[in-house]
Amino acid sequence: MNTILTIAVRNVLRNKRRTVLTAITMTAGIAFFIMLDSLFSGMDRGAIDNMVNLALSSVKITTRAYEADHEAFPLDYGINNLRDTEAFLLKQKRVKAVAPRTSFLAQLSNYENSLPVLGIVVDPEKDKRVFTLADYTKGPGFSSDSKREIILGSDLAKELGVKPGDPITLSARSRFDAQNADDFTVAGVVTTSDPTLNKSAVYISFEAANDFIDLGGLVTELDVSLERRTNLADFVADSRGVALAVSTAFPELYAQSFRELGAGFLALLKQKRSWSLMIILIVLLIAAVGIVNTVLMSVYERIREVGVLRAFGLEKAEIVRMFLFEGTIIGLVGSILGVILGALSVWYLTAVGYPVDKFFGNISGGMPIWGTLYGEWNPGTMAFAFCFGVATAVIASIVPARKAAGLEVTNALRFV
Amino acid sequence: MTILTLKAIRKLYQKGERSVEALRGLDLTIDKGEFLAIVGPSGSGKTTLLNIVGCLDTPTTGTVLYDGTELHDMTERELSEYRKEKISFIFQSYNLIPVLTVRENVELPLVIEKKLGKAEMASRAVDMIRAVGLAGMEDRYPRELSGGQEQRVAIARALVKNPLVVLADEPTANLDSKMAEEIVALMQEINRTRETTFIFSTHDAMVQGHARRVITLHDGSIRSDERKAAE
Ligand SMILES: Nc1ncnc2c1ncn2[C@@H]1O[C@H](COP(=O)(O)OP(=O)(O)OP(=O)(O)O)[C@@H](O)[C@H]1O
Ligand SMILES: [Mg+2]
Repeated sequence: MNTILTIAVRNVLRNKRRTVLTAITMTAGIAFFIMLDSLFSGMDRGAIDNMVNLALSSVKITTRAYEADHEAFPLDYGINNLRDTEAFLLKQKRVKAVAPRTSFLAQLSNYENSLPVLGIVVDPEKDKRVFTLADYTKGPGFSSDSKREIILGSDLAKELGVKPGDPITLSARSRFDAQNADDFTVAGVVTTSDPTLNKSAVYISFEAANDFIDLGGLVTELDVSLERRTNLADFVADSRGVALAVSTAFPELYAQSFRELGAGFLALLKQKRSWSLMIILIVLLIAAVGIVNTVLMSVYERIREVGVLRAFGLEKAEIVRMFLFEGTIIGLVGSILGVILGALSVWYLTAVGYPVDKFFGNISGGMPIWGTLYGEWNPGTMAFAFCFGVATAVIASIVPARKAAGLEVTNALRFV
Repeated sequence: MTILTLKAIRKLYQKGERSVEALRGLDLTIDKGEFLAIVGPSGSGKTTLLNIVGCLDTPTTGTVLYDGTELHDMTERELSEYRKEKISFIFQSYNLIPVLTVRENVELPLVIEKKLGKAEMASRAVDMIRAVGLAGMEDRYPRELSGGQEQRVAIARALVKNPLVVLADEPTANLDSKMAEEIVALMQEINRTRETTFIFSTHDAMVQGHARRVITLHDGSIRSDERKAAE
């Protein structure tokens, strides 16, 4: 190695304590950033998984005609070639299951009160393979004879004072616009992390709906579940791929990938990213001050050495390089340790997880999350934090390094 | 053969309001192979003169001619380039690089010069270390040496690139008289065998006694310039 760089390396090694103390700030900052980012990603991912598993699914397919009028939840535009579409979907890459659903507007009443609700017609067997509602349902759920059974959101149940086994009346316009009302038995109450579901969702089976609103098997929506992918971007890409394939093969259908379905949430994610960026900026600023200080100390201790090197003809640029290199080594040590420590904590967060309810009770701060929060692996973040740490160290060393190079040789040699 | 000519050198230092005239119009000619001592009381301008001769500093007025080259108009970079080629230094407090071994310290001027390959640099350094009587100590660090040994390493470092001139500002001031004697003897021997020009300042009469030419400074002027016949 170049002797000038050797001098730098040995000086860093000679002052081990100082090096370690300086590097530690950087290590802590980088590890903290990586851990926080993993936790944030995990939180986001948990929220996304919940959205996908409870209501949105990975790809949602309706007809174009339905989409134009979707706010009214019309019963006029069913998916025609249901069997073909379903078969086509199941052949797509990473598609796990497909479930039909039909939504309609309705009123739910307990003879005293009446509340507007969104009726969701499901195929209990197929629905289970796409949505995880069953995990959040209290009560027996749909039986094999589900003609008079209903599952409703927890807020609705509370408001109307019903529990599983109680009777309740549902009224709605039939497919042919006749007003119908029927008595149902509460087969389950769902408590989810999605307040909209809790407040307004009512589930009945196709068997029941065929009878209740003359549905005749009409399906307005197909929901697709995909294999879980570790990386959110991969998942979104998969979802877009399937949506595109469907739109191409069935021009009359309208397929929404998660990019459209979760657009609002995905935008929120980006905003949060900028917060964690702020954190790393602040921490690294502190680390930078430490490095400036340490390299400056190094310069002061070696003023005479600088004088000697310059007297023997070493150029200023080389003096700058020598001290820059010292700062860089400290930055490298700090960043490498930071990434290692960060990776270890991410490993812990992904393998063991962070029990949210144990720490926060059952309030999850509005996040659609509970139970154990798992971290996410994010190699991009680690690479970014590493580069950022090293770059900070290099930049922080510039000032003291230039100070050293700018010393008058005669003054430097006389310095004691 | 003249290698260095100083003409009407003046050096002014600004010290706040007052200015100090460290050198007051100095004329001097130095030939190749001289072994020259600069003596004089403290503050007489010895260090200032050596700094100017060593291209570490520039005179306020006057000209320095090295080997016929005028240094007056040189930029700092060019001066540094000149130093790299032709001039070496020995310091009062040795100033070895503490984190480098003896061999690495001696190699340093060659590394800075960037002219030779690795093997050539190493072999020259080892030869030079042997020449100053430190064979076998190549891998020691400065802290493992005595003051006299450190100054020997410094001499080896100064000579390894075969400079035109070696400048030494009080090279023996930190050594006891026995070691000082040894160091001067070593410088003298190198001066004789290699014809390297040595210019050194000193307060020590014994060291001064080894010089073949003695320039006495007083208040920034040359008071006397005496030559002795070769012993
Ligand atoms: N950088 C400087 N700034 C201001 N004045 C200086 C500077 N360097 C030297 N001087 C002054 O110039 C004069 C000559 O100093 P110089 O160091 O050359 O003397 P010297 O003969 O080497 O003395 P000593 O024997 O003590 O080393 C002194 O009056 C000193 O105070
Ligand atoms: Mg002096």
